[in-house]
Amino acid sequence: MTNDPTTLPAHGDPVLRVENLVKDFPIQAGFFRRQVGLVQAVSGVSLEIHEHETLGVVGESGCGKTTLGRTILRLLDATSGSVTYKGESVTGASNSRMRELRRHMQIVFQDPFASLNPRMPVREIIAEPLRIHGESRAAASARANELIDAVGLLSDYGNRYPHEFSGGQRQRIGIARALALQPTLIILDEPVSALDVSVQAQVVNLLEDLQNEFKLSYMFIAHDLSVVRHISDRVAVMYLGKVVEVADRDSIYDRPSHPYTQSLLSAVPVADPHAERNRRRIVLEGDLPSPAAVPSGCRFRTRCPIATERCSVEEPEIRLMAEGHEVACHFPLSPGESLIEVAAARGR
Amino acid sequence: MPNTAIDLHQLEAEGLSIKPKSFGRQTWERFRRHRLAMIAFVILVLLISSFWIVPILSPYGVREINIQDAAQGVSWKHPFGTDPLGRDLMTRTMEGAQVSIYIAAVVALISTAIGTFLGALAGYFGKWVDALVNQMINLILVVPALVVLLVVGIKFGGSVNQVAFLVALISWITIARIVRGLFFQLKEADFVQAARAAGAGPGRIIFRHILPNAMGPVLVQITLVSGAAIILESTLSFLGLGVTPPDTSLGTLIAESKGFIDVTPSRVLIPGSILTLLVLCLNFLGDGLRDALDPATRKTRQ
Repeated sequence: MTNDPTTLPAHGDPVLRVENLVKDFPIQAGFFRRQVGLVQAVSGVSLEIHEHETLGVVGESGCGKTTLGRTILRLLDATSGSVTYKGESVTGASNSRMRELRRHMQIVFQDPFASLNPRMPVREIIAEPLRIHGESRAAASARANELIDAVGLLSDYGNRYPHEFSGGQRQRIGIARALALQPTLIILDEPVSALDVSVQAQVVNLLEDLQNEFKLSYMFIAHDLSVVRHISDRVAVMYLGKVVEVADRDSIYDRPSHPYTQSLLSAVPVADPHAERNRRRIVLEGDLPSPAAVPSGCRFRTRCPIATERCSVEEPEIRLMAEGHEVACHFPLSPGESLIEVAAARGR
Repeated sequence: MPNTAIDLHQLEAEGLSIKPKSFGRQTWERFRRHRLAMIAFVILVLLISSFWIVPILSPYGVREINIQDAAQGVSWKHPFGTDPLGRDLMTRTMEGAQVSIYIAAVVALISTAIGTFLGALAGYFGKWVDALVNQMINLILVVPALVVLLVVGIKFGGSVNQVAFLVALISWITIARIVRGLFFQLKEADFVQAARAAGAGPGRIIFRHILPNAMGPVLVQITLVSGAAIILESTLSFLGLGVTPPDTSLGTLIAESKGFIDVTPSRVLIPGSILTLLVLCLNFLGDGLRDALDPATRKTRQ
């Protein structure tokens, strides 16, 4: 685990700073609900998001991306570590302070069918955050109409219920709701994963337009690497509850250092058929280990083609590879080095 | 982006778009297509309204004794026959059915109130609140209901309201368990998380977000609880510990006539059939409601 958060000079003070964030889920069993184990969904994550920046967070299912997002917003209570919004502690905020902080940090969910209350007309759904924060019914309604318009829907349809909209339209409604309180930070929890590819592009473009219009900071959680590449300024790669590599987008995609990042990227299909034919996929062996029984040392070692003795004993600290490029690996790959070749050279 | 808007406009122009349909309206439309439930619904409405209309039209009073006509079978003069005191059984049966319906309604009301309240608390707050409510439910489950009701009935039974209250004390647990489960499930739903992220407190989340989405299954359960309440009341009354004469209910009527099954079987069969029909219709109604409210888990075909 590390104490020095990612530093990127260009963007000024961070909007969000996450330090050593840990979220455990107890495993209970038996009649007395005895705690028999612990799943550490997020184990010591440190991140920063700057003003008007998009931080992409990628990783396999079950690596703790979603839990990370929800713990930052205190939809889940952190086990340890801290989250600060513009210098103010979120993890330590009182209930009344937290209510205030929620104005600034919002969330968009993955499943557009589960994220809207089926018994509420759309205008009410979007107006609700404003009503919670003391806006009058008329003012909230008027603002909801503006927002419906801002996300590219017709305000005439405010009286309709969520089931009357398509997935992409519903996602727009979810985005409008997140915008209602004029937040500075929005956590986008796989906002396009559930949508058709054609609709994905529309929603991603909408998100980018809104970001420019309202100077928003995004934490874009996804497993689709090409979407992340398109929208992110910086990218954090997570594996089993830990950040294994953070860098600006181009460094991650062009010079991935962590073996996991390389294998993850090798799975992205290329649009050019010639390049696609030559693409060498790194197929990892085995499955993601259970977060209830994490491997000793480096968590990735059980699937890493270049792991050594040292990896099973010593947990790699996250360290600076280059300006703004951090990696948690004992044997980071240098730019241009391919994991397949390195593994072959080591006789595996 | 504007595509969606255009699409909707086009649909409107082509007459494909329809006025916003609320959830209630959609449910009704689905319910109407459920034939068995619709039949049950119609029978139920006819049956229950007849319970109130027939005694008004009847030339006989409920407690009007007429010894000349004592213990008759079915006839034009007395379609359901008469009892040994010569009271017209049609009037009396309707009166008794009124009481059974009244008890079912009171039980449904009380057990929904208690069950929803406790179930919501247990499901939303979990932890020790849940443990406490669960223990109460378990207690009622493990103790043989009928025996307890019989014992308590000896002390408190008799009046219609007392019987209703006793039955409700047992019936609320099924509703509480359903509400508890729904709350457990719904409090993790994304739309509830979104409300929390917007700063909504427990009151708003429970009443605006979770309860409206939990009412469907609860409604289904209410119909089933009403049916069960009618049966339980009849059982108690049959055993002489529910509604006692001169008040009457379907169970009391059957109890009074059980010695006459060889002489005038209609005396047992008529209130018995009405009882069965009522409960059957309530159950079909419940089935139809469940399918209409939750098309995903539909069991019967339309």
